[in-house]
Amino acid sequence: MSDSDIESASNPIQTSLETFAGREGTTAESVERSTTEGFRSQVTIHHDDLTPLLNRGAHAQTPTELVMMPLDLHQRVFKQRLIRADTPRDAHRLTEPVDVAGQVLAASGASQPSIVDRIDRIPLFEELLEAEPAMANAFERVLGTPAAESVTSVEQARTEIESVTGYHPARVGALREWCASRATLAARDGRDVLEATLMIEERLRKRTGKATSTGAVVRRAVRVLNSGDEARWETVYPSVERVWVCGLSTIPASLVDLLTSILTTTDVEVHLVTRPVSGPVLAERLWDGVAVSNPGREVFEIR
Amino acid sequence: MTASGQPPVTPRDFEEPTVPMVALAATTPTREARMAMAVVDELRGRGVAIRDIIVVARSIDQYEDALVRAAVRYGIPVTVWTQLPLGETEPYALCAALCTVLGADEVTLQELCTPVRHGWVPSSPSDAWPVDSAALQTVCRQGPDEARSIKEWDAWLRAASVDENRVAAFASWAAAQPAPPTPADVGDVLGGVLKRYRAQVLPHRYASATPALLETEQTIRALVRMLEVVDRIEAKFAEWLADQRAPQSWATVGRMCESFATQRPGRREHGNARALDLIEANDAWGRQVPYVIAVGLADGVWPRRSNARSKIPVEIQQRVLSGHDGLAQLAPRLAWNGLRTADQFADTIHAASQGLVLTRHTATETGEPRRPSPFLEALDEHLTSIDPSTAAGLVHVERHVPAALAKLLPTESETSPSTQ
Repeated sequence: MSDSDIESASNPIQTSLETFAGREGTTAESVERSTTEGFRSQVTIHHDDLTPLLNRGAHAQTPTELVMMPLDLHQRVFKQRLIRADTPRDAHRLTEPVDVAGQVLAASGASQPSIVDRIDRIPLFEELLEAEPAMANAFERVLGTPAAESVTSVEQARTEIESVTGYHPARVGALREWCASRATLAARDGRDVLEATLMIEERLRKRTGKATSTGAVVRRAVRVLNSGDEARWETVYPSVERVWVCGLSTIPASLVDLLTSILTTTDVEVHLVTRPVSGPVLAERLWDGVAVSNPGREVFEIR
Repeated sequence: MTASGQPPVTPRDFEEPTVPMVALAATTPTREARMAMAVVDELRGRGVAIRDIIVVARSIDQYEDALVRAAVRYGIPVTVWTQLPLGETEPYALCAALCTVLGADEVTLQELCTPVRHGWVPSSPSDAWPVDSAALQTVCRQGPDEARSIKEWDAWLRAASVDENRVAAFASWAAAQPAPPTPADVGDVLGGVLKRYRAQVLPHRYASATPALLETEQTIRALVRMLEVVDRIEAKFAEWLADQRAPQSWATVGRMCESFATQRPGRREHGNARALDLIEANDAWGRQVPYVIAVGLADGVWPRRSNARSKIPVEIQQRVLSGHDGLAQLAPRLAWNGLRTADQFADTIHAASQGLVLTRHTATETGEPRRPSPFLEALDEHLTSIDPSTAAGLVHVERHVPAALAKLLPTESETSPSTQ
């Protein structure tokens, strides 16, 4: 990790020099702009329109379309649409981000990570909160009730902070900075919920030694992809020409980072099939998300 | 970004559906459900196949009861695609109560009787099983109000003058169960009890259920789900013990049951081409069906007042959504500003390829007025609205189909057997 990376953590707008292009003498800003411009030509957004994806149905030896469709029920509906249109289904591989991440990690020789799920997390939170009153107090200030009595609220806070920041230093830094520079109630509550969540997440990592969420596995794979081994993606998905993200109203930061690493390290096209109303917002905000440097990086030492 | 800090991200304009649509109002949710099913009945009467119709609610919980009862009235078979409130069902209560009894050093007589009340039966039960609540209440009234070990209760039940050897039979059984349990014991004990419940207790519950069979329906789904949960608990319990994560006890198993029950996983029924699909709006994405009937288009019902669960202050949510104040790289959560709910409504109205019927109620069952959903207002200029008194003709014995609705229904000669 270089000093410029640390700089970028406290200044979210700046993108570190070596991240994408590594061109000496270019300003960070111009690198960012050109990279994002490059991404724009590699990304296609289909507003509330599944037809282009359905039209990719074909007989194929190996899948050409990697379709990330996280909900089972969406996958079911999509398969029904293919069947009804009498379209061959060999070209599509329906999957979800954590499974893609697992494939990437397996190809890098890493063992399949065991993942702590919500059922595991809740009793662990009870235990951790009991062990550290300072952390319990921080949650209590925000939640209004003793944290030990509202572990599901703690879990909700954790889910939201992870979804929004992916624990990325630039995103966490920006939120911390926003809260620190204001004297409002929202800023104080925001700081408490952020710091308490980061603390409990860190304790959870120490306590379990496992991946603390599916997002954590995705970020681990992002770091692997981003480590510079360009052949890795192609080893895992040699026949895939297009990556699709479908049917989401929210793209969590970890998935944004996965898309960034695919865009940065491969030539495959990324297609986003948005929902009808959230689509324009999601599409517009995507460009800010993929401009983050060192995708997949986290503020924690324990990964 | 406006000076007030409000984000410029509140698009609420829905792309106008290209199919004919109509809005029907009823005075109460119950009448609304009847009206929705009358429309289904009318469509079937005009030759539309049942699989070419879906009924959509934002949340089935609020409407399942009224819709299923209305469907029974019209003789329409329904399949409910919903999440299951497992924690409120008897199979769950049975397992939870068993874990309490098996996991505690001492229990009260009330606690001891709870598994029996929820349908515990011995391996080859006589006609005296399952035990009804009244008999158990009688036992509890006669017993001392203190906690004792299961063995002590067993002795007390056998010696006392209470004429109830069925609770004693349970106490003997409970005292003989392995404690602490191995993961395999969890599967054997809980799985065995659930299977006996299915064979011996379910027929009794079925016989005493209301005509709509709502509770039996839900109990059957809960049984299937609970058997899966027991399998998962067995595996997870083994994992936890290997990691020394929790004490090896029935109390641990009980906590795991509770976690699974509160997770509200999406347990959905198997599809049935001969039944009407009753789905939640979250399930409407990507679907294409000739006729869609969406219920509950009342303010506060769909959309609900959301956002209450978020732990992030609203001011920060707004900045993250708009991407201003240096927060551009944070990933917005679109459930925050209701865009996800709006997506679900748009998915619902776009699913219809022939006709769209949107229903609402003007007051709650207790008479509090309910305004139309803002989603209806957004479609207003393209939408024909039918007031409650006209729409009520649909549920009369001599059905009167309002003209505006009749326009979007097929005449019988138009319909042909569905190809799918």
